[in-house]
Amino acid sequence: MFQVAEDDRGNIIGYIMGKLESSPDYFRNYEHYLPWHAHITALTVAPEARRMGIGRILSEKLEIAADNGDAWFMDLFVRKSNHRAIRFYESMGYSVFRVVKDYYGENIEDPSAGGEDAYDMRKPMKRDVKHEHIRENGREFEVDPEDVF
Amino acid sequence: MNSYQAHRPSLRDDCGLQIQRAWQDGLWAIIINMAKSKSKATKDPYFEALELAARSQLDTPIDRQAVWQAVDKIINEKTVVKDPTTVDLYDWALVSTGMTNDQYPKYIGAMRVNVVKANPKLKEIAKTSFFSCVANSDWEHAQQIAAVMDKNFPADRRFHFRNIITTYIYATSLDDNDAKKPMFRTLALRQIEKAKASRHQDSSSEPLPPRAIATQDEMMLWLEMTIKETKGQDLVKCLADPKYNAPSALKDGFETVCSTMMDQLMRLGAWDEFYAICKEIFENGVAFWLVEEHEAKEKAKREAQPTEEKSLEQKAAELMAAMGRLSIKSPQELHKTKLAAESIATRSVVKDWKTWESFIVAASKQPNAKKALKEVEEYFTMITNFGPQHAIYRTQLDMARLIIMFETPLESESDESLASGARIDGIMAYIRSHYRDMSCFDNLRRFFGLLSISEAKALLERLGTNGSQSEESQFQNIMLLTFRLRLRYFFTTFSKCYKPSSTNRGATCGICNSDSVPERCEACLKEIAKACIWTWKAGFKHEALLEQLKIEGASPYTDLTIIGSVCLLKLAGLDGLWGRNDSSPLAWADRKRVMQAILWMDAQHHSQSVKRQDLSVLLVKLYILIGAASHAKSIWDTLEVKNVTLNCLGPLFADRLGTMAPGLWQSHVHGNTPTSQYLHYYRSAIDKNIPNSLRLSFDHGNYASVLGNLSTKTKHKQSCTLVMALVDHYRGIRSVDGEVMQETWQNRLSQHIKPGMRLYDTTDYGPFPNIEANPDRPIQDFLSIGPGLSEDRAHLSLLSERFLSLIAYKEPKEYKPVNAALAKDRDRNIVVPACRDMMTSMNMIMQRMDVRDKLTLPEYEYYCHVQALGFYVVLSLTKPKGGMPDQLVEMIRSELINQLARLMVRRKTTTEADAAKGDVFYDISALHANGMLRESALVTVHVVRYLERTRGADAKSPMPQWMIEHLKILRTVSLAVNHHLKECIERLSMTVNPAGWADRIAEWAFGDLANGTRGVSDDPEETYENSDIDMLLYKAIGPKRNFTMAIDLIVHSWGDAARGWSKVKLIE
Repeated sequence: MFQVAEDDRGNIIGYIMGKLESSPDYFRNYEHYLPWHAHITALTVAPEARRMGIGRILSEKLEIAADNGDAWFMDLFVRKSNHRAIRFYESMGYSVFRVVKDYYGENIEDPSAGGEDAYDMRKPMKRDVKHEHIRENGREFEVDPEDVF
Repeated sequence: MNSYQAHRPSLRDDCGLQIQRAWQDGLWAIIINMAKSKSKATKDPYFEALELAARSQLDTPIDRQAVWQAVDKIINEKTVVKDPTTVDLYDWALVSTGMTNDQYPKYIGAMRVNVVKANPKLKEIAKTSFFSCVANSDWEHAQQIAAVMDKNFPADRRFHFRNIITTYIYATSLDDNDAKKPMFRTLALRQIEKAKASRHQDSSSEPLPPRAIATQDEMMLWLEMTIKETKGQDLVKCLADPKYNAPSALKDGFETVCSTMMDQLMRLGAWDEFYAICKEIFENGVAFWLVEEHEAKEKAKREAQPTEEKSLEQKAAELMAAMGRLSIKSPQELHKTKLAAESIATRSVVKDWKTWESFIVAASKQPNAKKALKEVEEYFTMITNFGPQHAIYRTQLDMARLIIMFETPLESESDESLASGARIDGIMAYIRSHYRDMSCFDNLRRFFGLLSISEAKALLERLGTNGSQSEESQFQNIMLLTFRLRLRYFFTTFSKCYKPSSTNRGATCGICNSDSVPERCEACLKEIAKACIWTWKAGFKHEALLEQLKIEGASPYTDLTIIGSVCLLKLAGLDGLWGRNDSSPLAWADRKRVMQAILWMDAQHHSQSVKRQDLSVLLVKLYILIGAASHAKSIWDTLEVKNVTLNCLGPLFADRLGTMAPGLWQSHVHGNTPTSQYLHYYRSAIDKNIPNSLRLSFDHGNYASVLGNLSTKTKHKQSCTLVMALVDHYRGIRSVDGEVMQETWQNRLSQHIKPGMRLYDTTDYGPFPNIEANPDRPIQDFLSIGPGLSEDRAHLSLLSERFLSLIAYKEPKEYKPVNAALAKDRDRNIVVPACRDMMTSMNMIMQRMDVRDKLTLPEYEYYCHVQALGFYVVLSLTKPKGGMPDQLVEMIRSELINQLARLMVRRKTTTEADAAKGDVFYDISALHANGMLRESALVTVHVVRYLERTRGADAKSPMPQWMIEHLKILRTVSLAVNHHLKECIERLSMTVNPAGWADRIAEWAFGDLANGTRGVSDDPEETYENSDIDMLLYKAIGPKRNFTMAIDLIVHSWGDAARGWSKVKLIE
């Protein structure tokens, strides 16, 4: 799923890339099995177009596609140090589902560290009426990168 | 080599383990022997193909040719090869031995069709065969395969629409005079119309018939074909037909179809139809939003959130009232009938800025425009109140209101004066609300161009007052001050702000009333530059402000640097005419102002925590302009331009580097040059990535994307950037190796480019700051060595390269023809017509009135020179007895001498003191001119060598005396050029390398201030009025702010340039 935002001259000022997926079927009994969901692969807005709600509009478009695709939830990975992005996603209804230890190779805040943790954030879609695929205390759940599909 | 052909095809399982292993390891001799015996034993043609495929990998020509003879035989005898794996082997072997796309249809495409016909029920074979043809642009056989599959599987919609689109693409790929073209075109159109008709006939039946249009992608295919094949009013009629129009597309939830239809109506200027359709869509949109709000209200009730309820009810009441005015159907009525998809698509379209903008234009063209515009504004206000209140929608509404204000017709003179005040108020209100947005100025640009001089002055005054008075907010203050200076610069470059004057200069600036040259009032430029420096310098004192700017993501100091520096560059005399009558745009520029601008920009560039790409790109261009290419490259590299954007952004850096910076090609043997990335990218894009995308688009049934990918492929294969990269690659390597590369005729990237073929310039100048008022003279025009890429320039450069490799071609030493005279005759029979064709093509371009505007003067002279030499070659080979016109040789000689003389004129006019220093600034800014001159000398030497080879060694027909004389003249003049270049290179090395250059550059930029003759004032009472540009800038970026770092980098880069040039090989 791809969506771009253009300015009135046709320049691309933001884009979102996402996909509908699930863990392979043979993982079904694995504790980290991911059911059918939408994943945000990339979301970017040009500096001159920020703080206008464009990131939000793009995310909403993807959410519509996720609901149409009957996804349980939308998820994404974000650096633990990217406070601005985390605030943005939280304001959109996402919450931390789990912490993926050393998911990123480089640690922006501490170059001497081996890597940086990622937050796996989720937002329930219409299909998840009972909110079974999110958790309130997600920051307490840690997994290794190899546990992540 | 295409991706699927790059890897060896898998062998059939019945080959046996030994053959499989040998195949994997490339043990060709073993495979040949084993395949031969298997072939004898089984009589299976597969093993014969395997043997030939293995032989094709050997070095001996006879083995490499064997597969061609075998395939020729298959074609001529019309043998049907039924096994697809056999065809895979032939395909791979032929590609390995140089098969081009042009040869594919004859040799492999036809075989692929036979395979599909022989295996009618095997979808996988059909698919592989189809994509093989598509990857090789063999649309004739791709269409045949698609048609066969459509016939064999009539219930499979993918095969049906694949057949339609392939038939259409095949039709468009045929020449206009090909009789098959209209036949296939009509066939494709009829098929798609039938598919559309089936959809509408059976719209009630679910699911739709398999051969009817069902998806948005299929509908887009119909639309794309209709748009391309239907013209003018017929297309308007089709797009406005209520059965198929944009609102009808929305009923199916087809948002893209709807938007594309609206775009077309707009393009065609069908404003009445557009207006009516927009009204319908907005009415539906309002209704859908009401339904949405209603549902939200119900949900809120269910979830017991009373806080939401009140506002929703209020909104609903307001909307009901508004609906009454606009005669909208009730939400309940619509709620029952509309589908969710229609709701989503409609709500999305009515919030889209593009729709709004066009709706305003359409309303302004209605008979009662005032009323229509008012109505449109009401729609926008209502729509904005629905759904999430993102800032972008508020900006949209404010913007729409401004446009409506400017578009609303005035009915009387009193209206006009009122409107004038209201317009300024409206712009000011917008600025006050949106000054934080980086796009604020660009959004308002359209209105600035509509203001009268008095309105412009009034706006500047209002901004000035507001800017300086809002002391309660330093942030607002700096943002508005910056906005004001940018606006002042805009008006300074805006022709409408100049009044005719009786003085010699021809105009009076409407802003400051000085006599001036239109669009470049010196008084204003000085004033703006000074104000920018003053404001920029003051910024360093306010740490809290700097912190806030970081949080807000605003960078007014970068804007101030850009505006101020561009003023300095204009004051330096850079005017965008690319040294039309000189070797370099800097030939007569004021060195001081140029260096000030560069040092200022560099200081700002290094002080930014987050680099602004517009400033980086400006610096890249300026460093190239002053010959510091290696430093420009280091900044360019920080921009991390991705491969996929090279076609559009690459020329901003790499254009003309091959002529001016040979040092960057020193490491070409390791494949590391400024152009190697480009060539690698084009190879993978054309042969691998785009065909892969095409395959994916077909697989997913995304037919608009198929057409889009084909267009991308064409724009890559026929790209001016591709030609630029190839030509600079050849020139760069030639400068360090001295050898002419022979591949220009065979290079897969360019062999298809024929003279006259359409070439696409896709350069994107978007990364440059957009600060000029005149769109015809953008900022990049006066920061570049010469004009940007163009079709004519690309053809001229490629033709010259082909000419050079033709005459520089030498047979291998081992080649010993039995009959030397016959071989020479044959050579002549190839060279003369090829040369004549090339020169005729060059001449056609050079005769065009505007060609001079597309080239630098050194390029223009080089192509004239190549053309003259080309004609000389033709004449000397075709009129050996009749004698040659001496005038042609004299013209060639005098042109080169004139170029030399002009290069030296600028040096002679510098002061004696400058001359003593070698005046490296002007030498180094003329590197491109020197590079083209070197090319002129080189092509001259090769022409002389070629004629000596061809005529000199011919004992039966020895070279006539006149030719001996001519060649002597040509050799002498090329020697003179090389002598000049050697002197230049030596002077460059001698002047750049010794110590003391850092002080000299500081002195160039700041004169007495830098050498201490003029004291630097530390007066705390310094006022804006009593300071000057030099002093302000010196204090702002001088030694205290470490401008020596930038100077060191420039000197170092000039050192690189000098070292690069010292290794250039001059052929004599």
